[in-house]
Amino acid sequence: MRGHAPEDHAEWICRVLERFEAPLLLYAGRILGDAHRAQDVVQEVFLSLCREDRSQVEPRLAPWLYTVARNRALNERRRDRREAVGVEPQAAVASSDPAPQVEMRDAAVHVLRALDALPEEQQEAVRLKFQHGLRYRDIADVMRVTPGNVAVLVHRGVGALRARLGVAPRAHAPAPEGGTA
Amino acid sequence: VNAPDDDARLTSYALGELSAEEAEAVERRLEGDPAARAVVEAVRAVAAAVAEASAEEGTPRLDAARRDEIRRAAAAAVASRAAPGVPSRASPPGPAKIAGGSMPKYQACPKCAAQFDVSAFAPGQKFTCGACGTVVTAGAGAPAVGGRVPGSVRVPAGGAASGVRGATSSVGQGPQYRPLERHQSREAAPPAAGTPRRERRERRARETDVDAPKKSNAPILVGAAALLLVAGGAAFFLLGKKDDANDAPKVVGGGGGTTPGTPGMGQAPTPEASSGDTLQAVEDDFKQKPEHTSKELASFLRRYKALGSEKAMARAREVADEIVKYADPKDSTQQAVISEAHLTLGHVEFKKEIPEVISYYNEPFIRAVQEANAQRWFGDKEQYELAMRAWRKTEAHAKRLEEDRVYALLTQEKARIARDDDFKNYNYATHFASPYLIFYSSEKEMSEFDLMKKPKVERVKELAELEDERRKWSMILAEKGKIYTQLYQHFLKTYGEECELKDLMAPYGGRPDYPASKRSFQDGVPLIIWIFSNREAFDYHHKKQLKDKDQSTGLENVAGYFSPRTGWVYLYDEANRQFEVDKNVHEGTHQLEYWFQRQKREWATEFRVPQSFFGEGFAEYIGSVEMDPDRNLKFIGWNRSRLRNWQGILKEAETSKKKPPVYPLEEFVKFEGYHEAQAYAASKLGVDPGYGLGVFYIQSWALVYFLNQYPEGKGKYRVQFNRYLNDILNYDEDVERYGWESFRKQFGLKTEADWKALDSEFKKFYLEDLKKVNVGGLAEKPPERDVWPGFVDPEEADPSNPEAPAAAGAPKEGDKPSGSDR
Repeated sequence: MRGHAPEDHAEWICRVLERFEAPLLLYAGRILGDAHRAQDVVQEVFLSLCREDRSQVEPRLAPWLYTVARNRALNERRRDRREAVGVEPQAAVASSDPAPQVEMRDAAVHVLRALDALPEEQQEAVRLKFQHGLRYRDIADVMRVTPGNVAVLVHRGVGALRARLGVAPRAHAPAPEGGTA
Repeated sequence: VNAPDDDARLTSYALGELSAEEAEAVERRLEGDPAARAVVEAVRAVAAAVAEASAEEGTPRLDAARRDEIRRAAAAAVASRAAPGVPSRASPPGPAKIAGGSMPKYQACPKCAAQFDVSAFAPGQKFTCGACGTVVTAGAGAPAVGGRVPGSVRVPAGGAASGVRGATSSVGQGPQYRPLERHQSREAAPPAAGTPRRERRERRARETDVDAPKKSNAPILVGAAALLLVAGGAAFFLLGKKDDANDAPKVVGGGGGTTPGTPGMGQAPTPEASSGDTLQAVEDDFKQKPEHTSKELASFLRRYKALGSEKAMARAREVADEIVKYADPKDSTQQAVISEAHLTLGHVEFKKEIPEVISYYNEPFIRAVQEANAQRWFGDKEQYELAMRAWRKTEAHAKRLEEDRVYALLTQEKARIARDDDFKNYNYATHFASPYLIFYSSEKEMSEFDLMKKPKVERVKELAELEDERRKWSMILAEKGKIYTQLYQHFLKTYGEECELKDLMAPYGGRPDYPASKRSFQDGVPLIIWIFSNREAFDYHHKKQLKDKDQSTGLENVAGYFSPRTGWVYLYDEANRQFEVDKNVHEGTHQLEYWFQRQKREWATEFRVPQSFFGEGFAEYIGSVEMDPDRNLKFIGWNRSRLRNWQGILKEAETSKKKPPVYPLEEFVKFEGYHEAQAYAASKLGVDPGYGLGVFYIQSWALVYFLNQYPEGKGKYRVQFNRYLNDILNYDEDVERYGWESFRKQFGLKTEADWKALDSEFKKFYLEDLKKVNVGGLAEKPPERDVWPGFVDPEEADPSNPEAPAAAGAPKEGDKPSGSDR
């Protein structure tokens, strides 16, 4: 609380809530494969934030929030896997195998499916970069890897997406490997 | 230089992740390398496509209740940081700032002795002790004394807050309050093997003075769990051993007599057994010293036992008893000795590991296992059998958690509510009736902290009373479970096919087909019902518990409600049984509308059904039931109170030769709010708005009944009604008067003449047919609350015993009640 009036703290929490509520719900929901459970996780993230010293958290706010969300979501997922014997495996949530009866509605669905098909770490790095707007160094903090690792994960993820989405460099005429998804 | 496609630096460049120097180098390359330029463009195109597509995943929001909880926590954090005595979690340790004057640097709370850095306070300034809540005056109390202070908390500028002395701090975890004496006690080094008994005795005596649980670092819950266990009839776990510890330590001398200890009486012979040992020799050796180390006692124990005579074995048991009483069970080096002593005494060991799958320990049988583990050795066979029974229940519980997804989900939900500040202190019982989790409580609160402070006798008595109260609710809860599960089955059976409703307890709440970003409720949707035992308890909850949460207004005249805010039903039990049963079904119907609407709308949280005739009429129609003595429901649809009211209105109209107040069908279907019905009643029907609302309710029920049953139960319009219900569950907010539009479409009302035709058919039913119905003969009264022939208390059904009698009201798969418990 050093340097901030107490009233500011509550207002600040509300501002952070407004700004990060939706992206954190999406992020935790993605890890858990369950939007309802993601609500629990994100609520806990903000309750934790309430207990923190703003001056210490604020300079690294986004990585702090995503890190806490990630840790809690992974804990939840581990616990789920332990408890939910006989339940549809979590991996199916991010499966690359779309249900055949679901029609490809538009380009966005196409992109999201291609994203879902990436390996988990690549997908997380790509999402944190493009969907959540984090810098490599912040993603590295969140995922507990080095920024160099993040660069490689994103690079590979982008490469796979380019192949799946058919986004080829114009100078390279050949069809992308694997064709369009 | 890598080929462009393989070069991660190009990707990093495209995404603005390179340093200025690195970026410059890449740019130089790009000038002469079109392939590299194309790669950069492609990366940016992918980035844009992903960002754009991500927007399609929507902007989910936390539930309103969760947002409120966060706001409350934020406000509370501000309050606690502003209050002295509550250290900021992230405040780093640092040198204490000493204000001038004669103020002592530290001061102890006069009540709980927690110590505070008051150096920044003005003398006489008051602050609240963060540990016990006592208001303390700075400079007025005795300065804190003694104790090692591993870290102190810096006083924030302005002296607004002070840290608790004695707290420790580390990166990421700020100072935490620990009362000093307990702190010291924990930090005291355990005695080494062979520590003289006098020293151990003194240590025990010191520990006895500490008022907190001494043998464990477990949280208060475990202590409270122990108390609950006492109340549950297993008092043996708590009583014997701790009371013994309070007794003055006994000193055993030679020959089994008791003599004052006289340390330093010369060298004792090494008490090792030899082949030519005699009882006299062992006794002589024993008498050489008034006190023995545990190691020595162990040796004597072996020597006595080796002799094997009855007298020697009696002495062995006395020595074993001594070891059990005074050896330190926390000292790992003494474990073998202690075990041998217990075995000599014929005790049975209890050592069970709570299965990893269990994360919620607040079940009576799990607490019993924990306590039995803490006690470890049992001399009383009956006590041991009780512990083993608790263990069998724990094992069965763990097995079910692993194998039964629904049971695991409801247990998890129960654990969540056990932590909910608004409910956790009530004396409540729980009942599983998939997909429902039903709670029943009085207004009595049972704060574990308050209970811990009470004298033991009073505490045990109070806990026993609370437990007794909960046991009495067992039959009530089983009845509620049966009511709600029948409602659920009826709803699915009647409307499931037409409305494409899925079992809410199926994986992902019945919708595994939703895209990954919309999938939710992986283990199913638990439906929560909270029932208070009477109106007083209901009022207590809303007026006192929720008084600051803006959730208590407008509930003065309601007999219960469903809250779209939480998705729960809140009710209380009534003296009028028929009304009580009906209103459970009524509110349960609202709850099902809400959850099935969410199920159909990708779990969107907004409840979109407006206050139309459908909202109340449908719940009134479904919530008109007949209950037989075994609590089986018949959904008759005849709402006796509405019908009786309506017949009264018709009679009065006849007598006064006035037209009874009836809303024209098309207008009636258009209303989207009670105010619209009231306004119409006042302006067009010429009646008081309040009266008009009552008539609106009656007509709403009557129209839904008509659309489902007319004529004479044949259901001429049932198919259309089911389609209309499906539309309502798919409510489209963007369509003006959606309910009316849908009604018009599903009932084929294209012209004014169509409306008139239906209106006239309904009026015939409403004004003429209903007049002839014999309300008194419609249904039998529900059985009395405490009369249920053949009821088996779920508490009696041992989950580990497959031959245990099935509990009444227990649904089959995944629904078996776990019993009434806390």
